[in-house]
Amino acid sequence: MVEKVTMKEKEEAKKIPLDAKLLSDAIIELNISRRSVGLYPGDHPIVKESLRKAFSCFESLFELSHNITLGIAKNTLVVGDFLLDARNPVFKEFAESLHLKGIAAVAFYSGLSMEDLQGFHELLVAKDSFTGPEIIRLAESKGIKSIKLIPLDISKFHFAKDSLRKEGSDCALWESYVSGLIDGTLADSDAEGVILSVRQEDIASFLNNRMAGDIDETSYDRVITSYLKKRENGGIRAESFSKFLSLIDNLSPELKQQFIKRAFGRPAVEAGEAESLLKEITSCDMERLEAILHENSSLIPESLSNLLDKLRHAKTDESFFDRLFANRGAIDDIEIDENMIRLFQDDQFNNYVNKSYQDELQLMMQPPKISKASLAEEIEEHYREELIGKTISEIVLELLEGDFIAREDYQCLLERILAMTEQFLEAGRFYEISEIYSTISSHSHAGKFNDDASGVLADFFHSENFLSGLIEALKLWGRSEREGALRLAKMNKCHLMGRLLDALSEETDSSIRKFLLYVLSSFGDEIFPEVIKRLNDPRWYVVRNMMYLIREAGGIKYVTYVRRFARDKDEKICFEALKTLVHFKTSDSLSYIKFHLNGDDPELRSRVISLVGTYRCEDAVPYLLQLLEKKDIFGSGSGDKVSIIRALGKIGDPRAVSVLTKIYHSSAILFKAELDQLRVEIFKNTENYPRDSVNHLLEIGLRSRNYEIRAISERLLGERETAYVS
Amino acid sequence: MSHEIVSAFISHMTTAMSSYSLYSGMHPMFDEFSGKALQLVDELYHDDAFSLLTFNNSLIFNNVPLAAKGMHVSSFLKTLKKKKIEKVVFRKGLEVDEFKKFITGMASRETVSSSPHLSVGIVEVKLKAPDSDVRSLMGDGISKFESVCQEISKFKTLDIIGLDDAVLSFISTLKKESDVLRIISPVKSRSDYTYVHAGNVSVLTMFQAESLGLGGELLHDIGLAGLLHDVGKMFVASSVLEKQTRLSEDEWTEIKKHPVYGAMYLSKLPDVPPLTVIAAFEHHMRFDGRGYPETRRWRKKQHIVSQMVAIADVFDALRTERPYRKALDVRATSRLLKERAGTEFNPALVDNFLSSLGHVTGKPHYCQG
Repeated sequence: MVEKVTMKEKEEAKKIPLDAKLLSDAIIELNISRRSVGLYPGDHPIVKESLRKAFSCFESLFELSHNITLGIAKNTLVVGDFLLDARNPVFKEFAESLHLKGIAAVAFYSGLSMEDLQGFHELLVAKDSFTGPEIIRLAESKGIKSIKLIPLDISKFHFAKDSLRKEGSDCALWESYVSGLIDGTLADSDAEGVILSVRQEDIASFLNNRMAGDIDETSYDRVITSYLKKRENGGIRAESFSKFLSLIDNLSPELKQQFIKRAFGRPAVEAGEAESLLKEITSCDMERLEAILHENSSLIPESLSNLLDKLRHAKTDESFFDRLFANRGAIDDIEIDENMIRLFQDDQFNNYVNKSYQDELQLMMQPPKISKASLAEEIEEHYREELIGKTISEIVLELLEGDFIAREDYQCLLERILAMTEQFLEAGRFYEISEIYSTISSHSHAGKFNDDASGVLADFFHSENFLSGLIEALKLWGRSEREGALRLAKMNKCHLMGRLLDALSEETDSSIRKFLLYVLSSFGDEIFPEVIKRLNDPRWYVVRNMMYLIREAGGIKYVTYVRRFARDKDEKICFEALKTLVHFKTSDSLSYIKFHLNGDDPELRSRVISLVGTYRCEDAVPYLLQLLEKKDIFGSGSGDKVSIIRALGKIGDPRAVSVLTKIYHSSAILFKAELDQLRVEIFKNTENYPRDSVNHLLEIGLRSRNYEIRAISERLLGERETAYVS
Repeated sequence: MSHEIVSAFISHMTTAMSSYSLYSGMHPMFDEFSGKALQLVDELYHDDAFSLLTFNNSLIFNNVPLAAKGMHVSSFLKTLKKKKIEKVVFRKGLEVDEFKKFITGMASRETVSSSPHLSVGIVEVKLKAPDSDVRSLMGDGISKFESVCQEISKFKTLDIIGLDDAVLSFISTLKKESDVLRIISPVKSRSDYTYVHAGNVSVLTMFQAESLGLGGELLHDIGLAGLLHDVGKMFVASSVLEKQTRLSEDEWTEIKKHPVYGAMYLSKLPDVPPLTVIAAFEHHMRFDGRGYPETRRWRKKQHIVSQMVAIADVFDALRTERPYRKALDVRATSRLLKERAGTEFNPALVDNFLSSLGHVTGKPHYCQG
C-alpha cells in the first residue's frame, strides 16, 4: 500500500513543473514563520530564518518565471493547472489561513524584496479580522509592491436566474474561478495580465533601480513581451501599447534606448502588424510615439518610420462622419454635431472643460439612483403582454397615419390591428379599441384609403360578431375599465344602442344592469326614440328602466310620455314616473305628490316622502306638515312621521320649526317611546334649517333630559356661535 | 447590516418551513413565522434588494460571508442544496403570497420558482474565452443574420429560425466571454457594416439585459430586437445608403424613414416577437420624446427596450472604426453617452451600461466623467 502511494506520488511529481519543489519549500517556510509567531515573538530568529529561506526559494523561482501565482481553493493551493497535494497538512493549513482572510490568490513578482515578504507575513499573522478588500488595502498601505493579493470577490459570480445546478457540477464552480483567476481568463480581470494593472511609473522606477548595468537582453524582452503580448489571432492591443509608451516615458535615458531598440527593432514587429496597431492607437499616442521615434530615429528601422509617416497623414485626413448633409453630419444613422464629438475626445476634453466644471458636470449628470433590481422589474413589467400589446397597437396606428404608406401596407396593417382588436376585446381593453376605432373612423371620412377604412368599419366594427362581443365584454369588464368602456360605447352608440337595451332587459345581475344604464344614459338625445318605443313594453322593469334613462339622459322633452304612468297601478312604475316628473320640476309634479301623500298605499307614501326630501321640494312642505300634525291615535304612523321629519330636515324650510317645537313639547301616555324617538329625530335633522329659526329649539334641547338631544344642541349651538364670531 | 437580523430572518424562515412540512400551510405556526420573517426583510434591503448565496458550504449574505452558523443556517443551507438552488434574491415589494410560496416550495417536493420580487437560481463563473472562440461564435451569428437578410424583401417573410440561431450564437458568446468589448466585432468593409453593427447592437443590448439579471425568453427577444433594429434600411435605396458624397436634405430624410420601414415590415410578419417591431420603430426616438420618427399622437415615450437598443446603437456606431472614418475611443463614447443621459438616453440605463462595462472590463473609468 505504502509502495503504491509512493509510486503515485512519483507519477504526480513527474507532471508537476520543475519549480514545484522550490515553491513547496517556500510555502512550507512561510507556514513555519506563520505558525511560529504563535509560539515565539515576531522577531524571533526562527521566524526570521524561515522567512529568509522562503525568500531564497522565491529568488531561485524567479529565475524560471518572472511571477508565481498561488490560487487558494478553500483548503487547496493551485499553481497554474496543478493542484498542490491536498493531503499535505502544511499546504492545507496555509491555504485555509489565506482563505479565512478572504484571499483568493497571491502573486509574487520578480524583484520580490525581503521587506515585502516580511510585510506579507505580518498580514497573515495579524490578529485583526481584516478580510478580502480590507486586507488588500492594508497591503497597499504597507507599501508591498512585489506581492499582489487578490481578494475572493463573490460579486464576480454570475447569477443564472431559474437555473438549477446539475448533479456534480458544483465542484467545478470553485475550480473554474481559481483557474480563471490564475490564467487571467476570469471575466473582470485585466486581459493583459497583472503587470498592466500596476502603475507604469512604479514599474519604471523599479526597472530604473534594478536594470542598471550589464543585463541580459532577454530581461528586456520579458518586460516588453508582458506588455506587447499578442492576441491569439491578431496583433498587439492599442491599450497595452499605450501603457508600454507610458512605461518608456518614465525610464532612465539609457534604459529607454535599450527598450526602444528591442521593441521597435525586433523582427517580431512586422509591417502588417505594425500597420494594424498604429491604425488603432489614439491620436495622443500617435504623437507620443512620433516624439519618441524622432528622438531615437537612429534606432528605428526605416520601414517603420515610413509607415508611421503614411498613417499620420491618413489619420489627419479622416472625418468623423459617415455622411454629410447640409451643415451637419451623421455617424451611420445618428445625427451628431462634430464639436460634440471633439469635445468628448480624451485629448480635447481637458482643454475645453476645466476640472471644477468637470466636477460640476459630473454632479449634474448623476442619474437618479435606480437600483438594478428596479430596472429589471421595469423591463419585466414592460414585457407583459398587456403593455406590449398597447405599444404595438400605438405603433401600428402611427404607421397607418404615415404619409408615405402604400395601399397594400395599409391593408396589411389593418389586418394586424383587427387581430389585435379581437384580443383586446377578449381582455376588455376598451381604451385601446377606442383608439383604433377612432383612427379608422377618421380615415373613413378623410383618409388616403377611405374605402378600405369604411369597409373595415362596416365589416368588422359594425358586425354582429363584434357588437355582441363588445356587449359581453362590457358586461364582464366594463365596471373595472369604466372610462375606456364608456368612450368606446359612445363612439359606437348608433350600432350599440338597441343591442344594449336588449341586453339591459335580459340582465339579471343588478350591478351589471346599473352599469348598462350608466352607459346608455351617457348616449344623449339619440337614445330617446328607442326608449320611447320601449315604454310600451309589457314588462314593468323595462318601462321603469326607460323612465330612468329619460331622466338620467336629460330627456325633459319626452316627459309627456312619462306623465301617463304617474298614477299607474304598479307602484314601481308609478314611483319612477313621479320621480322623473319631480326631477324635471314639472308644474304638475306637486299635484301628483299631494295625491300620493294622501293615497292609500303606505309603501308608496313612504317613498314619496323620501323623494320630496331628496329633491328638496319646498312646495310640498305644507303637505308634509299636515301629515305630521295628523293625530295618530294608534301610533301606527310613527314610521311615516320619522320619514317626514327627515324629509323636512333635508329641505330645511323654517315653516316646519313651530310644528317641530310643538311635537317636542307634546306629551303622550301611550307610545311614549315612539314620541321620545321622534324628539331625538327632530334634533338630528335640524342642521339644514336657517340658524335663527332653530336657535330657540336648540336652547330648549340644552335642557332636555335626553343625553343625545343635549349633545346635538350643544354642538350645533357651539358651531353656530363660532360661525357667527368668525 | 447586522448579521443578527439575517440570522433571525433565516431562523424564522426555516421554522416556517418546518411548520409547513410538519403540519400544513393552514397551521398558525406557519403564518406566524413566515410573518415574522417577512417583517425583517425591510431591514435587510440594500439598494432595494438582498441576496443569500450558498458557496462552499457557507452562506453569503449580500456578498459577505455570514459569520453565524447555527442550526437554522445549516438547515437552510441543506434545503438550498437539496433544491439545487445556490442563490436567492429578495427584492423590495416582496408580497406575503410570494414569500409563502417560496417557503412552501422549499418545504415541499414542489419546484421553487422565481416570482416578481423573489428570484432563485444558480451562480456561474464566466471565463474569458480565447479570442478565436469568441470571434468564431460571433462570426457565426453575424453570418446567419447576413444570410437571412439576403432573403429579405417586401414580399418574403423573414426566416425567423435563422434569426433565432443568430441570437443563440450571440447568447453563447456572451456566456463564454463576459467582456463585451472583446465580443463586438470590428467592421472590415463598408458592406460588412450593416450586419456586424446589427450583431454588435444585439450583443450590447443583451449585455445590458444580462447585467440586470434578465434571462430566458425576454433576453432572447431583446437580442432579436437589437439584431433587427435597422432592418428598415433594407428598404432604403442603396444609392442613398451607400452614397459617399454629401447627402441632400431629401436623401437624409429618406434615411430617417428606416425606423418606419422596419416597423412596417416587421409588423406585417406573424412570427416575430413584438419587441422587434417596437425597437425597430423607436430606436431613434429619444428619452425626452424628441428624435425620429416624429409621432402623431400615440407613441410619445420610448419603450424601455428601445432605450437599451438606442444606447447600444450609438455606442457601437461611435466606437466602430471604419475604413473612411476614425472611431471614438470607448472613454470618449462613454462620456458622450453620459452627457446625453437624461435627454437622449435613459440615465439609469446609461449608468447601468457604463458601470457594467467598467465592471466586466475591469476599467471602471469607463463610467467616470
